[in-house]
Amino acid sequence: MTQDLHEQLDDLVVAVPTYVVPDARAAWTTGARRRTRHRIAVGATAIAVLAVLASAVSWLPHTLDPAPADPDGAGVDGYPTRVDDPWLHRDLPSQAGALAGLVRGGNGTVGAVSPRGRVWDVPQDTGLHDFPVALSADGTKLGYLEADDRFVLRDLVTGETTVAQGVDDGSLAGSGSVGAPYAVRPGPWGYWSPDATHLFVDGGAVAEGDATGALLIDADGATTGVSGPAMRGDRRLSPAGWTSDGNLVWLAMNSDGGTAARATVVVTTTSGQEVRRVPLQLHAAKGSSPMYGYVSPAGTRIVLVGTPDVSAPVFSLADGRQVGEVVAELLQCPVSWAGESPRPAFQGSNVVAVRDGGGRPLITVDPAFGATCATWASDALSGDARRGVVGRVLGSSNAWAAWHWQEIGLGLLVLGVALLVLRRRRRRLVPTS
Amino acid sequence: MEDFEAWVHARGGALARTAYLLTGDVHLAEDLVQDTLARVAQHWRKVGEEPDAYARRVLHNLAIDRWRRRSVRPREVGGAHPEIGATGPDVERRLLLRDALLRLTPKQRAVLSLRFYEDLTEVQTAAVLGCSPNTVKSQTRTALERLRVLAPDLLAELTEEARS
Repeated sequence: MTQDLHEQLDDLVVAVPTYVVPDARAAWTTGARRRTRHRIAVGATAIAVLAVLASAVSWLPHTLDPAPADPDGAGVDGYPTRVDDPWLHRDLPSQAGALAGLVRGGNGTVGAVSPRGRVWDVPQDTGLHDFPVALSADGTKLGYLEADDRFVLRDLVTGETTVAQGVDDGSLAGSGSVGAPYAVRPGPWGYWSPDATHLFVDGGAVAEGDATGALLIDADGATTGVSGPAMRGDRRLSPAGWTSDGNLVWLAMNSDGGTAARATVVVTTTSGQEVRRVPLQLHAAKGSSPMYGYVSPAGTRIVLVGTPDVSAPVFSLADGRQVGEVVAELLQCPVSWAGESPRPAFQGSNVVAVRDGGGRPLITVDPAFGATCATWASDALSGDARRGVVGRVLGSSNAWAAWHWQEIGLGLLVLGVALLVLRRRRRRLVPTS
Repeated sequence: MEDFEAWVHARGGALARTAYLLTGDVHLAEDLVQDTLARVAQHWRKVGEEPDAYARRVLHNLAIDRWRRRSVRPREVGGAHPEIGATGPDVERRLLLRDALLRLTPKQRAVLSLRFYEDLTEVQTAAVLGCSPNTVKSQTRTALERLRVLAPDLLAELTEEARS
């Protein structure tokens, strides 16, 4: 019994290969199958982890958002390239920081969009969604009808909310009840002054015989009725914006025979005193009334929206000559501006988007919004695109998966965890022999 | 795949023998070898030019893992053991050694296999099992002591020093 253990072990197993015959082909097949499964699992896990990370970033508490603009009033300087419909809708917080734009959803609600594409609901009572919601050019001020008797101006940087005095939705007028002296009108969105201290909205006095053509609400909430310029004939006046020096711009359209053949831009002071008027050189009797005008941030151009062929002519406010044309198919949707270039929203494949001058999509909105309009602060469109990881990967893709990557990632993660649990349970339950 | 098949053809017997030392049963050894080969095939490109070392590591660790994961004790394989032989003193000696090995823990069996059958050093054994050389040393000592108790006639004169 002095045999070395090695020899004893060798002796024990010498005949084993006769009874244990490995199957190389079966082993290779099993190995290849495991390799494939492993690759799929790794890929799915990577996608799931990316999706969860991206979701976490978009769901982080507001405190982890990019710091809001400083109290000195620094505004927005960028825009998102994709706007996803959030899983959970939350109201716009008091200090959300400067916004990039607004999106009107299919049910009439208005979504406030941050420069990184985060979306909050603008809190409004039901039934008020046709009334103007106005975002200043720097994205820091928002004005809208919060309740039927409460028009608010919100500073999104300081969180201050001011209630406009004497303004409601006009629903009490003629009912015998005492309402506010002024009422905003449903329709075009409002226009903030270039310095974001005054809001110019379509509205009027409730009292009969009053010549008020629009309302001017200042940052303190004081409301003034502004008489429109005197026009000959049957003209319809509507606010169109501001000049760079703080005067009001009105658009006057004739309504002869239900068509808009002539249009005139009238510039008045904030007290209604006429400064100048510029007839616009419409090439032909085109369009159906009403048409809306939107003045550029510097006040040098105006774009008219409302023609039946969706073309929107752009005019110089210096001499009334047409200087360009864009396609604006959403008639009730304000035209956004990037500098002095109009950027109208368009709708295709159930998605509202904004294109740049070359026709490339700048901002694409999730079809889940059912959006009917999207309008953007001019400072946002003049800034940089905030693509983020998701925007870089998905670009302007409108594929179903591109809008549901979070759900897909979560599903894969759940599936992966379930498979892992099942596999471990099976290993525990099946005996080794 | 051809090179994998050639490698299995060349090394399959050695793997089967080691698997038998670790399991004490030809059926369990066959399962263990087949599972090991599947793992090697799965990583065949990564394994590169050293499939033997990788297979050795997988084989020994799988044997330990299988024992840890088992929910019931492996069934006792009774009856004849044709791989050991029919009758005679050699058969009795082999059966005694086999039974003694089966009463060790899987890790002790793995250590004995690597140290005394594969002739690896303590450091190499530790690398295969993913533990420290001190652990290998203590496991070896314990395993040999236990073997001496379980099979005193068989291993009376064997000392650990003889191998070191």
